[in-house]
Amino acid sequence: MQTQWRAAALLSCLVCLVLGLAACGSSSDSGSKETGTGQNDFPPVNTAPDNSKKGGTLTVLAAGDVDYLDPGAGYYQFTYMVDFAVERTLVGWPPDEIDTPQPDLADGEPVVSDGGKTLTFKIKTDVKYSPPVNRAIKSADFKYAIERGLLPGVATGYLESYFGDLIGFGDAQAAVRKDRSSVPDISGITTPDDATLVLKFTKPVAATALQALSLPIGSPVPEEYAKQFDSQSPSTYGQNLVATGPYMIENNSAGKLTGYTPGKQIKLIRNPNWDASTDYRPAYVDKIDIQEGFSDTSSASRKILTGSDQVNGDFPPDPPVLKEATTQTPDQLMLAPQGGSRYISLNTTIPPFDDINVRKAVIAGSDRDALRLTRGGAIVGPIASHYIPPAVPGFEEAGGAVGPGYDFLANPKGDMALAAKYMKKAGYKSGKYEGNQTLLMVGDDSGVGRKTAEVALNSFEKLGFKVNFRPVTHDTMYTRFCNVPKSKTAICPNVGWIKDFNDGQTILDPTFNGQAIQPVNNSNWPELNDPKINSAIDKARLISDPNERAKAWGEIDRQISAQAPAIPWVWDYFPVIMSTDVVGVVNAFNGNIDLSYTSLKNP
Amino acid sequence: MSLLSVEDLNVRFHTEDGVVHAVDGVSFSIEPGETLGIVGESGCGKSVTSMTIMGLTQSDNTDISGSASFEGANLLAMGNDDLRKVRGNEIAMIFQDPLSSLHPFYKVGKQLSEAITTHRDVSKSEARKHSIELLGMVGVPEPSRRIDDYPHEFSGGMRQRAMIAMALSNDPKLLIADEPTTALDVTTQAQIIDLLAKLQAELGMAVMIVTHDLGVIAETADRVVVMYAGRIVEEGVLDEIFYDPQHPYTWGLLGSLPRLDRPRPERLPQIAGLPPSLINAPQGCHFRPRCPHAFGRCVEIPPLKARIPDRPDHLDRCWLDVESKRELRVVDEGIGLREPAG
Amino acid sequence: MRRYIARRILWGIALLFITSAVVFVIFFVFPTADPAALRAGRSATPEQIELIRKSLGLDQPIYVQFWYFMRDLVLHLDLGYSYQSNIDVSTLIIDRLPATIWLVTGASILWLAIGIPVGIIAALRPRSFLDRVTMVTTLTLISAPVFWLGLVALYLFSDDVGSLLPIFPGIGSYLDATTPLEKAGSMLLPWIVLASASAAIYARYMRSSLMDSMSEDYIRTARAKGLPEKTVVRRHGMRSAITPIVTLLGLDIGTLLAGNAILTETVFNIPGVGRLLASSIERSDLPVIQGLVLFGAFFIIVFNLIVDIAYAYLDPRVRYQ
Repeated sequence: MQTQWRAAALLSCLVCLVLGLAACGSSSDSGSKETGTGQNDFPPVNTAPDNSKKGGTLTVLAAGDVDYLDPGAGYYQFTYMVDFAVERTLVGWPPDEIDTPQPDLADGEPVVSDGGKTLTFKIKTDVKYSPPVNRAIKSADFKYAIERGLLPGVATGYLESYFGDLIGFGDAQAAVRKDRSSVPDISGITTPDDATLVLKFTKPVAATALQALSLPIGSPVPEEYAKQFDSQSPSTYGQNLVATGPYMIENNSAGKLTGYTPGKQIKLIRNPNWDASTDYRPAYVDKIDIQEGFSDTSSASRKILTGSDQVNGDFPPDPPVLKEATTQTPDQLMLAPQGGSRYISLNTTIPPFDDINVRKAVIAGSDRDALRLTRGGAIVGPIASHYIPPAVPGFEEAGGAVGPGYDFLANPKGDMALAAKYMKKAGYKSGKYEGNQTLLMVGDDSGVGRKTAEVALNSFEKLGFKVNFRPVTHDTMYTRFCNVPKSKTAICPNVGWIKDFNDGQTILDPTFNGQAIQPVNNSNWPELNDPKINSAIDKARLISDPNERAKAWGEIDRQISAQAPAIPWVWDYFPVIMSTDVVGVVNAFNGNIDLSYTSLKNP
Repeated sequence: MSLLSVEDLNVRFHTEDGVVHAVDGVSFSIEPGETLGIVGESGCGKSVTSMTIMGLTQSDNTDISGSASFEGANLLAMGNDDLRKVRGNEIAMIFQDPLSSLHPFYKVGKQLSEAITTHRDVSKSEARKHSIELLGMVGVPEPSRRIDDYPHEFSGGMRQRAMIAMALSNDPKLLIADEPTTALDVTTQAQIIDLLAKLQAELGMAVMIVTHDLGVIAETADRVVVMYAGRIVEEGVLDEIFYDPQHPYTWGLLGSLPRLDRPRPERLPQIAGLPPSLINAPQGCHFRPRCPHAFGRCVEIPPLKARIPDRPDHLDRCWLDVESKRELRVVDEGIGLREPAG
Repeated sequence: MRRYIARRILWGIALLFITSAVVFVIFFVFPTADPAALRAGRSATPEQIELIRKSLGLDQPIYVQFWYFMRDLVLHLDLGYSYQSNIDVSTLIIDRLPATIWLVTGASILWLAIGIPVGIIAALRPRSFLDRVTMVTTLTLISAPVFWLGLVALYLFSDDVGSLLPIFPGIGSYLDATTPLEKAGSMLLPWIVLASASAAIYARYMRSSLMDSMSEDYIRTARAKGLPEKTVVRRHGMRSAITPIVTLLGLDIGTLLAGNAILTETVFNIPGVGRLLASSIERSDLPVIQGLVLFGAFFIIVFNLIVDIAYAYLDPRVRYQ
């Protein structure tokens, strides 16, 4: 009987998973930290115990695949989980580090000079690539790695955001437009010798660029080897990846990956050229077998919890299993903040949302607790009250867990009386919307996302709005509707934003800066265009001092919240589950298992 | 001793609607070399009778009682293996529709050879040779070529010839022909009838011909059994039945027969009404509801017996006395049964 | 016959062409995600997306894109690259085919081995106890959704999450399997699950087909010949009863290879073409969808042709001009 009940419950979860995952590449996975509205009873372990054992094979179960193994294209937490074990970057994130990235391939702290416009690295030249390249890394490899990101066949999406102010960046872009298959030269990146890398910017943004180099773009690519792959479009370097980390993906003598079949499997083995003395990673296990395609996450979660050597990779266990795990196997569960927020965006250019009082009424009247319940309730993370998520600098300055203190964000269960008050202020005497405008809402067509959209729909209708709900796939929602201002989508109930790295800019700049509104791939979904906020963002980007930055971005967050552009509703955790014999270590930066630190009890 | 002697045969089918008493106390016999015609409308039990003799109606839903003795052995009491040795060997059968009766997926030759090898221990090539001979004997042209044709490549008449060849393959003592010409066109009918007559003369077997067509009976039978609603209503030699029929049903049958020696009527006369359901057959004489001459006594079942003095072999089931019958009979007018005057 | 086959092959090629065109049109007419934007990632600028659009050829009119696709397919047997993983489509599909072929072959053998004999026994003893039990069981199996059945099987019998008799290799065990024996082991539960509904359908189909053919006149003839009942059933009854089963089998195998085994593949995490199709549709990965649809259509067309040829072989009345 129990089995049948479980089975029935499981059935509903398949589709949602497929959907949830589709989101990851572009934006919606989010997380949060132990704060305010809820104490995290399952805090993640961020350091490996001293008695961790070496050896064994760790199995990672995943529902979907990495986005791209090519470090120039990978832009997804699950991909980072693999990259952090395979690709060392100039600066990186030991699992317990949350403030500043630490030198990894950089030899010593990088130097920011020239008033924040120059960034200089010394490089550990005793680090070697995995076979078949086998040679030591050199500074030119990093220059090449960044420059190839401009090729449409590689396409590093965030390149312009963080490196657009490099001297010569515009010329390089122009060169690619002319010749789409040759890697252009960015004159602002120079290599005085094999051990020195210098990046020169036109503006004082070196500190931000430094953080961005902790992403896979900061890993070296050997030009003489990668050129042949980069000359194809799309580049096939991702299928011929060489490693600098403790692990490499199984390959043949020519370098072709044999250990990667998309959607199926990624096999990591030890990199024979890796030298532990140059690295902070302990790399306990011998092999890591990433098995993909477990789209029925409920049974996959149970497999992990009852089995051995396994952890989850890209999927959160669905709510019933998660609830069960909290009571029955609490030692096998960790809730890792991922540094993102989910919200329901209100398009401020579309009437009646062009009236701030209407937006405030909507936020006041929304039951954010009910929204969170669609994902599993309190266990999935605290209810969001603003935009910078916990653990990202600026969070406390923006109001912390309690929030910025605006009345319309005060009650997570919603306050209909307050909503009515704002509606009246907007000129609707009944306390409800009285106009004839039909609002287009575009949300997920299945799974948890659809449930969220339906709860949102209900709360809009309660306030008197006429809503045309158009359910589509998650990717379609983004790329054809919410990201395209021309589509005139008024409400996007399933959007969210996750940090690129620990800086408020990565949360607020692309999403609320009026100058960032673009005709396609727009991520300022409310199309908020407040001159005061815009100029505050412009200023904050150029601040180098970390404390000043945190203060500045926290203040911007408050200003954004005051404009009521969206309903923030959860800073969710990523629930890590593992078998009893796994000593799991979570990377605090990435909010997921750190493969180089996790070990097995009985290898 | 008769070749085949059927005694008090009863066949009941259990269906969802009730028990169908398809054959009700049927007795008759066939002598060696004789041709017996069984005639009646469809549903009268004539086919069931012949199939039951062959053991082809046995099933969980069928009750069979009585006996059918073939050369002294009761076919109805035989085990499957013994019965199989008789079937297709000493008694053979041909059916109404030669197309559906031949397996569409096998060549004619293969189906013929199969009939031979089932009962005789001969090699494949001998069986094939014999099959060709048989096909030739029944008048299939170019038998050695046609033997490798599929049934659908044969014409209707040729198919029935092939069926006959198959039936004759083991020199049966009795051939049961169940509506052998019904599915064929008129000229082919005549050819098949002639063929049957010729073969019987050559081979000396007995033939039991089951048909609704009195014309076929007239051409082939020595003796005739007339069946109505599961019972035999009249039995006698051919001339007796045709020239001195005793049962009003027989009159009706004869009246509906087109005749060349009479002016053609506007339309052929029919017997009014429909045959009764055999689930709830009428009490007494089964023909009573349709019979214009029925009277009080007809609610009792008239026994099948000889009723004409000096004609011990002419049996019928009608309570009317012989004289009244001859008066009432209007067959010669060629208009079948009609209301008696007054 | 030869001319018929040649004509069917030509028609099949035309059909593949039409199918591709339809997929193209559907992809562009209905709202699907923008591949260039997906490929570029969330922070990319419009210029960057335009550049990618150009390099993917997506800036061209549909018919030009279709022409390029067809040209590459015909001249180089090149199905293009996945938008999602940058890997060429034929590699992706060929990588997924063995699992599906394994699944479908094993399951079809199993369902034939069960369905046919059960159907025969039921047909020969209609309304018997055995017949009734069979029919009720098969009805249950037909009605049970594959997904549900798969999960029940897993939670009862798999060695990872099973609780009743955990003896069969569980979810995703195909990924671990290296030897054919291990692969077969990992396929046991999926085979049973995929085959159960089909076995039930085939049993019912076989039953009614054999009952039909056993009531044919030629069966009466065969019996009248004095053939033993066993021969009557085997040589005369079965021969015609099996023909519709062959049709059904051909079409079933065709559609299963084309991706129809997706639910079983999903429950047991078997990396087959069905799974690939689902994830490609989810990610608007047109080249992969296109490739899979072509492969699927190819299988269906081929198996249809096989069925027709088998039909002509089985039934001499059928002759194709």
